[in-house]
Amino acid sequence: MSKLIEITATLVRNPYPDLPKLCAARTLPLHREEDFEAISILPVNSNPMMQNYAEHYRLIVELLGCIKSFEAKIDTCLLRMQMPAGGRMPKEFLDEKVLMLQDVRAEEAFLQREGKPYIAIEDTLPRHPLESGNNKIQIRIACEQNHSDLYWNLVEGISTKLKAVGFDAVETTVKDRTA
Amino acid sequence: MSLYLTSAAFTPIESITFSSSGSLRSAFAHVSEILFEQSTRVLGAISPDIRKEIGRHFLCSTMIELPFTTGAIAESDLNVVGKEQYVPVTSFVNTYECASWGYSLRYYLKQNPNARYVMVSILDANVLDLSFWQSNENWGNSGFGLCTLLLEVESFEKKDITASCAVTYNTTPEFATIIRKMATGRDDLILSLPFFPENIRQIFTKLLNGFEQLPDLHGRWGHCFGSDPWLNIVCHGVNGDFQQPKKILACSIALNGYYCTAEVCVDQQSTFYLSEAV
Repeated sequence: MSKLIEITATLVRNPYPDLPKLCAARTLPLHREEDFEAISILPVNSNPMMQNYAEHYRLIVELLGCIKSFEAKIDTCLLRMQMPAGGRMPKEFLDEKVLMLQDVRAEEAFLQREGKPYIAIEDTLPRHPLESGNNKIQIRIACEQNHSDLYWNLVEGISTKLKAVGFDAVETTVKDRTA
Repeated sequence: MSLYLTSAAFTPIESITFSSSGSLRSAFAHVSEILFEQSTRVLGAISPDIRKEIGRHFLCSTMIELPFTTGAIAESDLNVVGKEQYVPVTSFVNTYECASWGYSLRYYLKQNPNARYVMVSILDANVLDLSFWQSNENWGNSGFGLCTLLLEVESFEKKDITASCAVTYNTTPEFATIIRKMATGRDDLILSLPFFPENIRQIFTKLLNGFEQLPDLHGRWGHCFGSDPWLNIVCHGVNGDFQQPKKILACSIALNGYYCTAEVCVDQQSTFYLSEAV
């Protein structure tokens, strides 16, 4: 039976507290009164913004690097990514193994049904008040049982990394995967 | 040739906004109706039994983001309620901007090399009526609309789809150079490029001089984001210009340097629809 491992955590501080920050509000320019009226109908997130865009990308790049370092044979990685992005994405996100989606769940369901191994990083880490999100991250790893040592080392590695960059309440659950 | 454009449609969306519809949710309800009708029409090109084989319907966009990012609209709002959809939207991809359709195809066909059909819709509608999106120095006047493609995968080869990113930040010349390399020695290939105003288009004019290409339609449609190369094919298709089979390289470039291409075959069996603006 293959397994679905889920690591959940909550970001409670800035991931890179000892580094100077670039001011990067990065909203699209609003020119007319009507532009401001249009934006004002959108919900505004009241949760704390713990990071900016560059820090968010750095965080995900480091998580991908951590995953890669364990040489798990997973050819597919889904990333939840909100737009606007504020600039060009890191090259790691453009790899052919990676697909960035507004919501990973539907695409993930296909991989589940097909029994394919994958990693999904679904974070709700807001970088701007016009992004929804409550500073949670869920990392799901769908893997084969016969490499269990490798995957538990991977889980341990990811958990350690999350704690190092400001996540708390890091928890892991394991389910049998039903294809 | 391994990708065949079975059917394609474009509907200009010029007047659906949150204010004209009464709310953002109502505006998206209207858009989802158009998506339903266009998808149904495009799927009319194949039999009901074959429709059941279609495993994915990607919806891509460049400029529809804030309603989703803020949580005002959910992905599920893109599918109409109460009507049976043959192939509902399964995945919303906008991170790669105008090149999102190519990245979606690259992902899907890598995952499912034996798939027979795949559907992609490209939606760019200024539902918030923001002036930034109406025109911009980077692409001139914008055009808005919904485009849907039904592609038959006859025998997929990785080279049929390119999805990548410019190395430099001088993206349009770099993109044109890449297209030039792809088209060199391919006298059978017609380029379908993104629509740009003259000051930007001259990059293509200079770097792609001598390569057969569909005419730039920026003056007629504005820059329609990821739809441009497909809208151009649709415009020629409804004119009956594909009586002989043609090989077309559809090409898109995004502001942040992401680009994609797809080599597709069209012929007189391909069906095309160009609707009145809504």
